[in-house]
Amino acid sequence: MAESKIVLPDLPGAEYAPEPPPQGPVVWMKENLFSTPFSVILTIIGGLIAVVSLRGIFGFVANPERIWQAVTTNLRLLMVQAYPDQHMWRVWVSIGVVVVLTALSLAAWRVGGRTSGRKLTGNVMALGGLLAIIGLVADFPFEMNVTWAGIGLALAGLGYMIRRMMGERAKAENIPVLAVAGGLLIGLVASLWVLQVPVPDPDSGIRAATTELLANTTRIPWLLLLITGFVAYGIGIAIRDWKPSRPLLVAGWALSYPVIFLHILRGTRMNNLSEYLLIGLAFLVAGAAIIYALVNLDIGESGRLISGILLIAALVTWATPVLIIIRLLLLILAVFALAAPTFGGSGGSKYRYMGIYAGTVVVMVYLMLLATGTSAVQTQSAVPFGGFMITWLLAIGAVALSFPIGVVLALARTSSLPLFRVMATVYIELVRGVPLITWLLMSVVVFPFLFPEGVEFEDVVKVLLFFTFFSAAYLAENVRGGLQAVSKGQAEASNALGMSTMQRTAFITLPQALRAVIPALVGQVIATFKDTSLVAIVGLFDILLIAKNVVPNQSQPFNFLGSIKENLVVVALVYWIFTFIFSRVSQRIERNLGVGER
Amino acid sequence: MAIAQQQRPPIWRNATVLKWGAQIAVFVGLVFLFVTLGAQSLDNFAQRGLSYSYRFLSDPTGFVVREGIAFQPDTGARALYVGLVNTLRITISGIIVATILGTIIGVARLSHNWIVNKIATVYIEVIRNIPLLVQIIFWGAIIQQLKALTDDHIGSYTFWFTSAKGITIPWLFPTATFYQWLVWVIIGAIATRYVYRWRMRVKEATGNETYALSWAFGTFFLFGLIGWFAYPLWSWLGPILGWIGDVIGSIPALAVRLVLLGLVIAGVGAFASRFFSNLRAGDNPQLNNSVIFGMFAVALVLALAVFGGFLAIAGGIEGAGGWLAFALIVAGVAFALKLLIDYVAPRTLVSGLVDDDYFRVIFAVLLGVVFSGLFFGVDVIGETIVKLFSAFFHFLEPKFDGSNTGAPFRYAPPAVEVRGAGFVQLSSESLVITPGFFALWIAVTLYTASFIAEIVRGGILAVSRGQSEAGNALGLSRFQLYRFIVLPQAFRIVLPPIGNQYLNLFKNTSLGIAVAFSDIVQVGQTLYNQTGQTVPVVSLWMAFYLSGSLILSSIVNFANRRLKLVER
Repeated sequence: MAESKIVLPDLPGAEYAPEPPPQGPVVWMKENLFSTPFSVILTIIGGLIAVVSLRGIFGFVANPERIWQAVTTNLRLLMVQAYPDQHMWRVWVSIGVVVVLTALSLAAWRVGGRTSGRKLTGNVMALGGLLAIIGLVADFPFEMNVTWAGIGLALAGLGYMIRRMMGERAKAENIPVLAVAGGLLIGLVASLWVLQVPVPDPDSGIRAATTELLANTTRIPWLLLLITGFVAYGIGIAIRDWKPSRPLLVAGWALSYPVIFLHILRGTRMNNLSEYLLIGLAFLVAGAAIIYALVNLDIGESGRLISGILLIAALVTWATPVLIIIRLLLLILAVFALAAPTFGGSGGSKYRYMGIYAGTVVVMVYLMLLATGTSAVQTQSAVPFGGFMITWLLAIGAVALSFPIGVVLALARTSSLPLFRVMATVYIELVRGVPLITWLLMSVVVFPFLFPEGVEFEDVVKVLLFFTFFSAAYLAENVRGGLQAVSKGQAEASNALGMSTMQRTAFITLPQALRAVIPALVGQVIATFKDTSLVAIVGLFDILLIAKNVVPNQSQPFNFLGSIKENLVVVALVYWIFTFIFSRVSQRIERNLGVGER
Repeated sequence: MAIAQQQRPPIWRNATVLKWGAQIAVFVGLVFLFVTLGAQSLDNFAQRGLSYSYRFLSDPTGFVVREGIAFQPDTGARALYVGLVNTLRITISGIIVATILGTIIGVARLSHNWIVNKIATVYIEVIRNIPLLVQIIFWGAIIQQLKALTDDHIGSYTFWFTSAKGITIPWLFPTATFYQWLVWVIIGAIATRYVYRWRMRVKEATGNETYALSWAFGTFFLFGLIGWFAYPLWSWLGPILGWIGDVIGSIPALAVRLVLLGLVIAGVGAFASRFFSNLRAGDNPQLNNSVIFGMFAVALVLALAVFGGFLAIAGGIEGAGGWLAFALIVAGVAFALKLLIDYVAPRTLVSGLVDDDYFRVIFAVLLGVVFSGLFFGVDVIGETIVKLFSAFFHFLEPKFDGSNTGAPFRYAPPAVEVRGAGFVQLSSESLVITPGFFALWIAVTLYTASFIAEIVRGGILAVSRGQSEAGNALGLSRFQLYRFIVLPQAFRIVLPPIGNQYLNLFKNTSLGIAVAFSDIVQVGQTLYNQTGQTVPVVSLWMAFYLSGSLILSSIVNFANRRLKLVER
């Protein structure tokens, strides 16, 4: 700014900076588009690029040769593949679980700030302007151009009107962002009841025979989900001052994965219910007693001996024909017993430790019940769903499973013990040096040969296993970065306090390291989410393979031959929406944590 | 040693025992696991009447590779080589274009011009958030659904022709005289270097503008121009090259094997001695002659271990001699480690055995063993090296024939021709980019460029504000500010992460398998589908990608070291 500053007298109540004088669009354009000759050239080139791309993109979309019905008709196939009709409610219940958890978390963490009417109307006007520009430049049939431009101008006008009507009140930041989002969601669901799309006729095989509601079969579930979400948000507001609400929600998120994928969607029948519950109960009682004794610091040497014996017993059971659940529970008990001196002490921490043990046992019993159960949903493969669901199954499963492995690898790589360090380094560098697709091909052509006859893995399990190993190596490098960022003084201080290595790692180093790498971890989730598309190459029917090979080859009852581009665009859009949300969440977390600020 | 005199703690509380016990237990458990799995896989293979072998490399193959330097490779090794070259083509061209594009977009993202800024933002947010594979398949689908060429296209001139069979663009093909011209260009490059230095010296001495850059370009151009006409000057090189090829071809394979073995042992020795001199460089007062003697003892034992390794593999692991040699390696490595831990390490704690030194030594020895065994034990390698070098010179020989005439390049305009049963197709005379190459190249390049753009943006923002403020205070223009102040500093910051992106690009080329691009993975897949040799093919992939990653990252590290600010 070249203008000289006007010095204002100190008036009472003038502590707020004065609003900059309103600038007309001409001033704005002069500053942002035509400030220098070079900028003028850039503006012209950029404008040309923008017009050409907009014309190209919307010409592609509106081209009458495009068979968008290939997507709308096959939406369910893309999302869940051949999930049986009578079990579709399971999919909706699963989405319901996620919706409830999301709404509760939004309430509990008090997400969402406030915005002003000015910004909101500004956004509406920008959207209207964009629509109008698209309407003007796009390669549409003439009526469509007019419609789009009209809608755009109307929106922009509406925004301007509202702003005018609000007047001075528009500047106050008093509109909750979440309320706006909720309104948009209501609008979205309402559109499912109103919007009409052309639908093919199954009898004659003619495309675009009649028109039907956009979401003929799914409008009621979506409405129910919307209501559930709002109710859950209300409940969340009611309970958010209750202290354990946040830890409980975290546990709920962690458990939602097995609950959704192993229980609800698979429709698991628990066959060994009474037997496993008895075993679990026995371990709860006996284990609690043992740990109660071991956390006591006075127990000394004999405590170590007991936990050592437990560990050996746990390892020995793997060579004997005992039920797998007993082996696992014994191993858990041994690990908890070994770590007892680290976490033990008197009072609250003792009972918290026992509580964590009890929780682990309960979850383990539940998981084993699910693993040994049989599926009520009968399809050809053992995993009854494909499509986009399998993307989630793999992405979340791989990151969740690889997290503990990655942390252990990172600790091993930074450890002072040379053999551990060598093994971790070799593993990490080997995995990272070779592209994922070769590992996935290995999971198909090499991995099955490593086991004796009779041991067979489902394709999904194999791929999930390799994804986990792959992602663990990358996670380990991220965590290592975090570990190196923890200042040396922290470790030295804990040494000075007489902490053991395990205590130092668990209470001092690791928490700080993990906090520093949360953005990198979200990045890892995004990368894994995108990488899951690679399973299409090894023949798993995820959304990409269905879009690429299944839908474009349909000729009965409708002719969708050659509709591959349409399908891929929609798949890209689906992926894009979620990765974009993830990356925004990651940026938000980064800001909130203040990581990376100097 | 001092602890030995004190009262030792009981064995279950002795930290050293516990630490080493845990490590060895895990290590042995892992080795046991791998041996079990490996043995099982051998069993499973044997049940199908197969055994692992690399014979498919020299066996004739019957399949057609869709693109590359040879369409009908005669052996498996040749087929894999064709795939390898295809991978490298995509990698190198992709890296160059992605870097340029990414830098432009990254700078545009910071532009004050609203529309340029928004275009860059939209580009990054769209491309970065869509899985690469979806993009590759999308481009593949676009090119697959292009309209067929018709008679109208014959004889017409455009900048390119597109069809489902590929895309043509104007191209310069090197001709028979290209190599003679290349000699001129190389000489020109060397001369340019000296001219540039001379002009810079004059500039520094006198302070006058000497137009060093123009001089350099002029020199280079001049040599290129001279070479364009004076290329026959080098035709006398032909017979000499042929003679060198003959001489190399007559070297007995055994000599090559011995030389290679010597190189390996020398390499391990050099590695070990560098490692030791690193220790010695630490100004350690405790590092007296006896320690240095200990180090040489370690080096000697390492060399022995390498020798034992190659004996074991050369003689086959069966038989008493093989086992003896094998025992020699194990004992050698163990003894070397013991020496290191007991004798060298405690005395050098100040300069210290840093991080992965143990790993480096073991790794060097293992690599030495593997390579010496490979070089000495496998006859083919020595012969192949002799053949390759001899073939290289014999390949060059006709290029320097005096009878070659014409310009060093042939201009090939995009063209179509009628082939087969009257179908109009892209001319084989012009450059045809296959659909697979096009889809993979454009997707990988655009994708990597979006990541590079974000890195460049971050790098520019990371340059401290004071720098650009100082530049502004000096009255530099915006271009000068970027060219001389911001970008050189940002370059240092962005180099390591951009190197990572290069590695990602290199590995991502393997996704070409989705659009039937014949890279090393796709050719390898065809090979194991034919022969069933999955594990050998996978091992070759791993060797290729690991060494490729290693080479790329060492280039980046080298550049990084050269550019690094010398601090303190």
